[in-house]
Amino acid sequence: MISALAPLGLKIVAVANQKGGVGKTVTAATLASGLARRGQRVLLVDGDPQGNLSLLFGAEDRKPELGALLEMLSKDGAEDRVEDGIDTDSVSASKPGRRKVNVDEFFAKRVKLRMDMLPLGHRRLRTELGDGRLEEAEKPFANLLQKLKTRYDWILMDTSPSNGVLERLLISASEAVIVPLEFQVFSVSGLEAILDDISRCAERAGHDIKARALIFTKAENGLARVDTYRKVFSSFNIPIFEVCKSEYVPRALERGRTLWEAAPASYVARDYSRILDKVFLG
Amino acid sequence: MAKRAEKSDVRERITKKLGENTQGPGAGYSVSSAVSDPLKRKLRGRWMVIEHLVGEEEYLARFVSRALRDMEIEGEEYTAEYEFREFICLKRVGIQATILGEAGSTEYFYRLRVASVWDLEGSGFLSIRPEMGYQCTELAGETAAVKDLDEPPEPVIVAFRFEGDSLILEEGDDYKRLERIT
Repeated sequence: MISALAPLGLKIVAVANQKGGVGKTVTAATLASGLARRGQRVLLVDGDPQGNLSLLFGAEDRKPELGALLEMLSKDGAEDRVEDGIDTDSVSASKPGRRKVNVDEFFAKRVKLRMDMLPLGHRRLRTELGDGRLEEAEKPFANLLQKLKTRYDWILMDTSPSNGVLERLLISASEAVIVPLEFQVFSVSGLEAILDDISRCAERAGHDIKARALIFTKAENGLARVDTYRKVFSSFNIPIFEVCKSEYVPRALERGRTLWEAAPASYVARDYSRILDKVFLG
Repeated sequence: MAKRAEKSDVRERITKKLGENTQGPGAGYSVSSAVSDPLKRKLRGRWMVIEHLVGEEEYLARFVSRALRDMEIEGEEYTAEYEFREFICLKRVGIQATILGEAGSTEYFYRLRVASVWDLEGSGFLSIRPEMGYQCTELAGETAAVKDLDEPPEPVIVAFRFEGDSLILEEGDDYKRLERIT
């Protein structure tokens, strides 16, 4: 039996894999918008400086965004400001005379019904902010998301194909990780790397973070040795879901629509729907 | 050879890490609905068991040797049917025989009915979880014993495949070949 996230109270979910092109952004967008369509309040965090997720939801020019939030959180006294303010939807100053910053300023509101977004369109975020500042923002950002759990049923985070400080920050702030993988046997070695990262992040964060599901995106039944892949991965002790390769996905993205809007009855939508049922909602 | 060993090491390490990092056993593998839906459609309908072996032994012979041991019997017959609906699988089994005795013959009839929830499990496997059912024995047309299914057991994982028009179900050394009725 799969233990769903909702009954476990695990609501902050990172979609992560160091490898590129495995469908992280599509998966994050589809799961987040799918949850919102099911009546859940969702905050979607674009954690990939490429900003594709922000582009998809028309929030690419939104300022300030995640980069600005992290910059602010990295400053002295930021943790106090988060601790003090977020219960009233604002980040308050710890020192007299410092401006109160409402966290909503950073959000693109209602990018979809019941769905807000924390966009990122800052391609040079890493170089401009630097590892040191990102590291300083790590704990305040995690605290902020914890506070936001009172406002959202789910906080989903897309991450970039890297294992730098930004990705560590996002995974450390999460409570569960969903790992999209390419549907091929070489994914095994990439999987090992991301599992190691998750362990390290959990250790740093001082709380339990686990990979809760693997998603084989772009699954094709016609591939040679497909049964071998399935047998190999079936032996792993984690829920694994195939999401079929589909032309509906790029078509929907090109038109700036979610899969639920473009092709709700497609096999690929059904595959994602099953993940929502089994992994998220239970 | 070395490469193969290396791959196997990676698998072992991941299995270990997943054991430490994830939620526990019985997680499952869900094939895409693009694969599972056509297979489910192919499975739907009524199927009759035309061959049933346990190891090398015919199931009927094995049943008789256990349930009707030390009895002289004749005319034993076995029918078994699986009906796959959208989510439910109905299993119907009937075994009849004539028990020969000094005072005359007695008709024996055994009936099993089980309704299970089923789904595809990974590649080439069915997960079948019995939900309700009973088994009943009749002697000379009178009910001799009835037993309800106990608490629903854990799902049974059954390997399946299609061979021509036949459906093959295998669970351990239990082998069934079925043909479609409808």
